[in-house]
Amino acid sequence: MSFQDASVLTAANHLATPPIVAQAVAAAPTRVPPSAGSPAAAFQQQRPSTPAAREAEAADRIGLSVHSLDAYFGATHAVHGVTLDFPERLVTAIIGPSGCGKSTFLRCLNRMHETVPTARVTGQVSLGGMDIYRPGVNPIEVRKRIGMVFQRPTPFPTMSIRENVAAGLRVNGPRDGEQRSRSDIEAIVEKALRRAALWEEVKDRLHEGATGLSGGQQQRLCIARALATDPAVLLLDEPTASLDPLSTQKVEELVYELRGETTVIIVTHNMQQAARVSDRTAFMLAGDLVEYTATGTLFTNPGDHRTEAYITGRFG
Amino acid sequence: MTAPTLAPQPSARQQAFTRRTARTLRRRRAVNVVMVIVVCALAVLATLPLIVIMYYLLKFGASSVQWHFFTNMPKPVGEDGGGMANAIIGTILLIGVASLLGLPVGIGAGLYLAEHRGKALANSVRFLSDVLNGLPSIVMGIFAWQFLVRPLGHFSAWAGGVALGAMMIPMVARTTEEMVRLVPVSLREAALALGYAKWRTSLTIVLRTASAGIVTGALVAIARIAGETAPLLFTAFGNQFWSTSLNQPIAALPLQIFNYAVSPYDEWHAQAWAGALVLIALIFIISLLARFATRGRFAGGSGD
Repeated sequence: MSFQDASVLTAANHLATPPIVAQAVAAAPTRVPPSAGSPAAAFQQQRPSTPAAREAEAADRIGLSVHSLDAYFGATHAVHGVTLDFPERLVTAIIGPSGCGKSTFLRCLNRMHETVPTARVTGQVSLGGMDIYRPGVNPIEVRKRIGMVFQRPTPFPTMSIRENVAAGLRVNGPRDGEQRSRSDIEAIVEKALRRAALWEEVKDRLHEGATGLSGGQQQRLCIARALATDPAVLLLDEPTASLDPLSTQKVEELVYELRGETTVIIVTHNMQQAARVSDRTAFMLAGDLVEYTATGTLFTNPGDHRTEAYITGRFG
Repeated sequence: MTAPTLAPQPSARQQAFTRRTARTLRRRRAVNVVMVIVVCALAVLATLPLIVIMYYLLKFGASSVQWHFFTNMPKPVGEDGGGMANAIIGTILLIGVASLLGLPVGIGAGLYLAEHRGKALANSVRFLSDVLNGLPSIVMGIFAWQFLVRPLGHFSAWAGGVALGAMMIPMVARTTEEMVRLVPVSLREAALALGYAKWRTSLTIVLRTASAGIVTGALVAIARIAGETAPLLFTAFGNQFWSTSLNQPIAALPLQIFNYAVSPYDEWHAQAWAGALVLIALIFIISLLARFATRGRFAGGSGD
């Protein structure tokens, strides 16, 4: 069930791994942790060793609970009554073919869906026992607790790198009894950039414009910006879709390292990516949730013939 | 080119085809050359008025543009050393009043037009502001006269500034709208996803991102109204004396140029030329500022 399981690796090979991604992971020329010999090894070693323990944890600690969620664009019914629980502080991947509603579903989880004209949502999404769709709940407050990173990097072009990371802090005032000085903000910015594995690359140019960074750096900056406010849940909407394999690998490592700190929900087109970074995987098809189980199980022993058809590349 | 040498012998049909295409190619090349010349000539012609104007202004006005032109008051005919200090300060004050009215209203309206696209109110405001943009400037003067000069009973800098500001509003609104619409939706979504309220997203992310373009639009609008004469004729009215009171009639470069140009005195004609030269230089400087403003804060970035 875990990443180093031989069965998963065989399954991954079955999935016609794009050679370039495979090479990037194998070669892994950058960001060598001082302790480990090969970064790829470090990437695997951090994995909790007992899948059963993780399963148990997943079962009793829920990060985000979704109950019969429907989403519409005008008359189009994009997501059909999805019910599932996302485990707390683990990574959950949502896979499925283009247009299956996975991005729409993700955007329902922090009330971003309703920002599109004619869009509508029904159902419940509970964060820490509170339904974020309950009348009277301010979507702005929801979005402060549930961060989001998009497919294309979206650094604010008029802000420096530092200002970009601190952008969320401006609207997220200090928590109760906490005073936030200038040096506190500097510390938060540094911590967020370190968590996003970007600090070493930008620490000498924090006051330069964010648009001068490469695409991969911009995306990690956006992740740092989302992490700076310490959200309970981080939503990633195909965060590596516009990145090259090396940047993709960095983002994947970073997602991997967020496990244990933040509940992460990642939408991806790339099944290898889902297999690499996630603990649980949900498969969506045409607006329906087809299967939702431990990642290893889904890729090696899918319970639904449609899942099997998709992961073996027969459609989508 | 390589194919014929490789082929054994081109057939009659191939030869005919080659001749035909060669003829077509020659004709196309000829048409191309002619059209490039025509378009180039038209492009030069487009800037010709400015070149001619600059030539005459320099020829007749340059000699009168001396230090005292900027520091001295107009002098009676026959006295040397007259200047247009009052008109220069008047024009600057009028631009200030006009900007005070035109910029906030125009930028606010443009933001509304861009952020509430498709709404009935936005569509009608957009249409009306286009009509307003095409309105003859003298009609703007009549508007200010009717609503400010007549009720107050006297000409004033306020009235002139309001007339000019009303002219700025549609220009600034439309450029602001265009610039705000260029800000990608993804940037708005990124701000919303961080927990920014809609108004805060509009003000701190969208407007700031579009600010370079908006500043350019504002400066272009200022440059356009700086030289307006018609709306000032019966609002600011002009003043032969030094006045910086916004409640009094005030001098302005275009008005002074007009008064001097229609006078029968040669020295005043020279002063009018000099005034025109100074006015053009002012507009030129503002336009240059507008070009530099588009560079934005992080010029080394992707250049957006």
